[in-house]
Amino acid sequence: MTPAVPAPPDAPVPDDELVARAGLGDHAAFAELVARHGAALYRYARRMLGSAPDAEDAVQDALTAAWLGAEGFRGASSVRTWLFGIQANCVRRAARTRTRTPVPVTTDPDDERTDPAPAGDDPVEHLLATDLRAALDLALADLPGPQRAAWLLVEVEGMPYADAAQVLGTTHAAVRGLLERARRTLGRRFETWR
Amino acid sequence: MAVNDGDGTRRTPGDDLLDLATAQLRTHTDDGWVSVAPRVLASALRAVRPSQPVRGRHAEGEYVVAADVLRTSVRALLDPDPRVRLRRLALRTGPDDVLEEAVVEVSAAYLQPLEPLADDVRRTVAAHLRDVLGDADLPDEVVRVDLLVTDVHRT
Repeated sequence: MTPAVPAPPDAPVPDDELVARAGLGDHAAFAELVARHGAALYRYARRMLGSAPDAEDAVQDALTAAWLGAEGFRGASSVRTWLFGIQANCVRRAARTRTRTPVPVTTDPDDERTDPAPAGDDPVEHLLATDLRAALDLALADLPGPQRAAWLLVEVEGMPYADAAQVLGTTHAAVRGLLERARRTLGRRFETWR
Repeated sequence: MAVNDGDGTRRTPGDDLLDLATAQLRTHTDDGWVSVAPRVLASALRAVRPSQPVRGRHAEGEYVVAADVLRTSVRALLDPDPRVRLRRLALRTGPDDVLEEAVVEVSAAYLQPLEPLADDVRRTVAAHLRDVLGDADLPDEVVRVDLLVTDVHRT
C-alpha cells in the first residue's frame, strides 16, 4: 500500500489516476488528460505530418485508441510516454497513407498565427519570438523524419532519451545520434538567420 | 565563431538562436489544435469499447450486461463516498458468461480505518451487482468482491 502520506488537498489529480478513471468510463477524467497533453500531441503530429488535416486525423486516432485502451493501462511507462507512443504509431501509419501535400506550419492557413502579445510584453521581443519559432518550423520541415521526431520529443517535449527511444521504438544510442545530427543541421540553419 | 559548451561540444551563435527558438516552440500551442480540440475529444469519447458480456437474469429469463456498463455503474455508486475512490474494476466470468469474481481496486482516504472500509465497499458493491444482475438470492460467495487498497488520497 503506497504512499503513506497523501497529496496536498489542492494537488492536481495524477495522470495515472485520470487514466484509471477514464478506464472506468469517466469522460471528465479523459477530457482533463486531453487538456493536459492534447496540445503537445498535436504539436508533434503537425510537425511530423506536414498537414493540419492529417495532424488532426492522427491525434483523433491516437486519442480514440487511448480512450479505448485506458482500462488496460498498467503504468509500465508514464502516461505521457504512453500517449506519445500511441501518437507516434498513428503518425507513422498516417505518413504511409497520406495523400495531402505537406505544408509548413508557418504558411498553412489552418495554422494561422494569432498569438496576441502578452500584456506587458515588449512587442519587438514578441515579434522576434514569433519569427524564431517560424524559422524553427521551416528548418524542422527539412529534417529527415527520424531526426525531426527525436528533436521534437527530447528538445521540445522534454522527454528523457530512454522515453523517446521507447516512443520511437529504437535505442537510447540511436536517439542520441539522431539528436546530434539534428542539432548540427538546425544550428547551421540558424547561423544564417536574420 | 564557435565556443565550447560545458560538455565540450562546440557551440555557435546559431545554437543560441536555436535554443531560443526551441524554447518558444516548447510553450507554444498551435491555433490548429485550439480550433479542433473539442471536436477531436468528442469523437474519441464516442468510440465504443468492446466489452465482455456478463449474464443477468429476471423473472422472464436471462439477459446480458456489458462489463463496461457494470464498471460505469459501480463508479457512479462509489463516487459519492468521500472515503474511497474507485480505480479499477476487473470482472471474471465463467461458462455462459456468469459472473464469478469482481475485483474492486480503490484508493482510500487518508487516515481511514481500512478494514471496516474494505468490508463496507465489499458489501455495497456485492449488493449492487446482485441488483444489476437481477438475482437477489445470488450469494456473496458467487459474487465475490476483493478489495485492493493500493493508494491513499485526501478528501
